[in-house]
Amino acid sequence: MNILEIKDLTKAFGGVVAVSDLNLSIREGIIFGVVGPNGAGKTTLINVITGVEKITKGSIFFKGSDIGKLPTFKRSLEGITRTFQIPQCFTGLTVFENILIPLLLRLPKQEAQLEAARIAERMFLKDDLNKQAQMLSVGRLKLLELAKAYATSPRLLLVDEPMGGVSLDMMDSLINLIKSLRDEGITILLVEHVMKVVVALADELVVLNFGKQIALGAPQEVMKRKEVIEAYLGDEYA
Amino acid sequence: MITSIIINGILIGLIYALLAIGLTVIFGVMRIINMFHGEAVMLGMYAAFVLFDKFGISPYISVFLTAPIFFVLGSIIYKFLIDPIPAREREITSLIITLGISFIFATSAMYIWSADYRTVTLPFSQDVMVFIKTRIGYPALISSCMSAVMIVGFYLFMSKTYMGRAIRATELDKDTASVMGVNVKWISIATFGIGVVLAAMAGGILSPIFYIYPFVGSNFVIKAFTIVVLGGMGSVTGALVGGIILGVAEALASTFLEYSMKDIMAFILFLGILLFKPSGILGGRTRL
Repeated sequence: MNILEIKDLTKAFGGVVAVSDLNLSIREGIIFGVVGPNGAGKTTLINVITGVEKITKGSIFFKGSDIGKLPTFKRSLEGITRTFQIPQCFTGLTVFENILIPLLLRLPKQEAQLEAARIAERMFLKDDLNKQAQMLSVGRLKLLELAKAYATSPRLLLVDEPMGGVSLDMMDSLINLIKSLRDEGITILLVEHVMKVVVALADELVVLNFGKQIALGAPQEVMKRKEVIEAYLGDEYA
Repeated sequence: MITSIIINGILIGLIYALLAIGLTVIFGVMRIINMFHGEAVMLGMYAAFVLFDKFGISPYISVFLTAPIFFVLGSIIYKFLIDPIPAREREITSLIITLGISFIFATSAMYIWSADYRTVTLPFSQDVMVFIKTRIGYPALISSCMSAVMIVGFYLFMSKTYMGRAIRATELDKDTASVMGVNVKWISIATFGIGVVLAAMAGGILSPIFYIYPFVGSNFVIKAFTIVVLGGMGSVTGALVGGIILGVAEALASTFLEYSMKDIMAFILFLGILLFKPSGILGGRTRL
């Protein structure tokens, strides 16, 4: 069953078309990779799915319902959440408090505290609980981003470049973590530049270039296609 | 003598704190400097005066009766005059708009009630009690106690209720709060309404101990700004600490210097804190 369907989606900023006539169907419970060179429209796609940006044309269906006109918070309550490419932690609060905030919006304080501690442990943040969030390394901030998003109990999690600025050791932890979230039943839309990671994680992959879909399918097969190699490396390598 | 000065300073400081909390919450969530705040205090004072004068309702009761009206007024101002301003221009434009609104309300008050000074004289206005050799007027005592209860109530509202937590999340990061399921637009409208209610309630509570006139708001808005800067912008606890510091400083200045120095204390503290600790006494560290 498809959890998300995007039909003829276009997003333009004035004369610049960031996403053009895009059609996608994402099955429930998979990791769906989105790759493409800089400016391909990957983050814009996340922004329109979450409602941060309005659609210029087309429609988005989540579990069969048209969510194209819903504001961001309603999409979140429906089960769509995201992480940010540049981590947006609550500055001035500890790691524990950062995870606690989304839980406090849904649970009584004591339950929220227990759940925050459980999530911190699951996200490998147990040793950082009392640290100020802004003092964490980039890699651990990315874990905190995932922890905050996970605390909203999402059904569809949009993860924007989780490996950017992350050490190799941390990459393995993140890969395992994202896989375990999928195994828990959360559908993941993964935007990522690091190809090794996308190929290791994605069950299905779409390649965008200048806002258009140029390839769709299994990662190993898609990455061999001529038009994908052209988009990334230029004509001479294709 | 010092003890009685400090006790009186703390009592007035508690009312000042209530006065400033609305301003600090609005600033914290929306980064808006609300110049209408003083006029909300003035309107609260006049509402208390009218209900007392015409219907004999005590200001300590009428503040609760008029609260919904002030909430609607604040929400309308935000929804129709501030929310439409593009985000990048909001800080400055909202300051000018709220300043304009405050002029409209102050001159309207002058048209309706004239420039005469009004007072709310309660049956116990002249009564005093003695506490640790300090003479305390009943109206000042009741007003301070009510302020303290309302500050505690507001603190509990912010920390225990969904709405309070959503306001805190929005204050910390609008984008993230939105992604977490918080209706940031509604929270902003409601926060502005709550800020106006708090200012008007402070005005109502102040009405038995201060003169009421159309431009009284400008006095209070200066005090409120001083307290917000003193305590740290956006901090409710900071507003309480700042209010008490200003109250005690004014009491000390009017006793040991000249009475006229009382109002200058706000400016001296304001400049001092901006020079030596611009983030305020409790600024720079956020707590859940």
